[in-house]
Amino acid sequence: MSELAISIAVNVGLGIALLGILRWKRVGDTARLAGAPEAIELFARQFPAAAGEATLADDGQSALLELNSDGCIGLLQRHGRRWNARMLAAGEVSSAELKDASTIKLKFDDFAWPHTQIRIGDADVRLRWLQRLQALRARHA
Amino acid sequence: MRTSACAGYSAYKRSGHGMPDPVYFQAAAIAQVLLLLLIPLEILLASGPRFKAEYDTHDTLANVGVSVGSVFFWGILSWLFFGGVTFAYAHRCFDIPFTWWSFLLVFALDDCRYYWWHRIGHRSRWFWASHGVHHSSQHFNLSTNLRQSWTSEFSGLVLLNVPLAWIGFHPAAIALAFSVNLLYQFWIHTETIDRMPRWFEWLLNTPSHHRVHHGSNPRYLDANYAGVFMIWDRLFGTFVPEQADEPVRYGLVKNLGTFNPVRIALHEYVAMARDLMRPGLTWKHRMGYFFGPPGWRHDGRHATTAALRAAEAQRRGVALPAEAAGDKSDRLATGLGTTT
Repeated sequence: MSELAISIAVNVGLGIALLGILRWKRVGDTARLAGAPEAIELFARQFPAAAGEATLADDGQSALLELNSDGCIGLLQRHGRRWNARMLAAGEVSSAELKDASTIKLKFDDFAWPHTQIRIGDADVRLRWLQRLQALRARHA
Repeated sequence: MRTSACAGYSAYKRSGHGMPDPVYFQAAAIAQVLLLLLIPLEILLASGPRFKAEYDTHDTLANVGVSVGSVFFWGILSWLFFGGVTFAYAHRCFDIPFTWWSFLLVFALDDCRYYWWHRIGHRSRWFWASHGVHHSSQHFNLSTNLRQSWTSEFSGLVLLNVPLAWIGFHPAAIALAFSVNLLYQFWIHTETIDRMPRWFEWLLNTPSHHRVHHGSNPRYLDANYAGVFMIWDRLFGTFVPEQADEPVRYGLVKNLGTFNPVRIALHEYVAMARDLMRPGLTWKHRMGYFFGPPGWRHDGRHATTAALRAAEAQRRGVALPAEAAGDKSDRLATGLGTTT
């Protein structure tokens, strides 16, 4: 068991050291959306046929896309230095609610992508998206 | 980083299965720790303009978290590996001495074993649920080494180690060969090295070949399974070179939206369980979801390698390379039955 304990301790020590180095060198945390065209382009890399209009989150780390077809909503979300795209159809969203005054919190019926949140400062835009997402959930329910 | 097979062997030996414990084992353990030091070195190099390596704090810490689980489960399940190997060795066909030449021989044979272990791990969903964890990061750097399966001993593929012991190679030699193979593979998880000399690229696994292996582009799926010697991929038709005009997109066909180590380690098992519990499936369908290639679906709407390649080829209006033999296992799986 001593090898096991040593190996785990080495891993934990390595994790702490790497965290320190990554913070020191300010690595990562750089991916931000510059604008709606970039969001649409990134989304289309994973869904080439997709087209529509994008609403950026205030922090530039996610975007919601009103897609032209199928009544689906597109979600683009920063994941590390990469971007995850997802088509939100009826049945994909298990909960859509306001987390605080400016943040929509979404829960998905997906073990590998359980939830996300999108900060939208503009009250009208936020309310419109919340209603769209809740409608998506209602269709499923 | 995962406990080496050597360390696992030492623990197994002390549990009452006495066998020689060569000094090489300590060298392998020291090499393992030294290799870990390359990760901070790569981060430091990447902070300058000359070297390419993309790190993200959450991703790197997730890799470490998965590694802790991997080490733990390897520690408590490694008896499956050593139990099988020592049992087979007790019933061996020949007495092969543990010498330099026998080590070279067992190393080459174990590398072939690794190729098939790896290939099965990509082509059948039960085994992919275990191995896919290593491919689940969308970043590719030395810390990706740490993102290892929690269930590799549990999946059943440890049985592939048994024949070498049954032939007569000493379990210590098999463990050492396995460890050296894994240690070799550490340095190939990097973008800081572009290409090695041509002869090296032909013979051995390199960062370029392994970047392809971690790619989710249809062109790069199910290719370059080699551990050390690239000849296995060339021999069995799964070699795909890295193309300058197609940058590798790392990760899975359907990427994860979490950095939680438990979700990373178990996500495919949960997805598989959900598929198996779909109402109205026949047993043939369930076999397809269990043993068929990743992406197989009972309704024919496959997202397997062959299906993704075909869709990509249609979209681009060009033929993609057919040499990566994912197509064969897909054809095999369609025999499991679909209702379209």
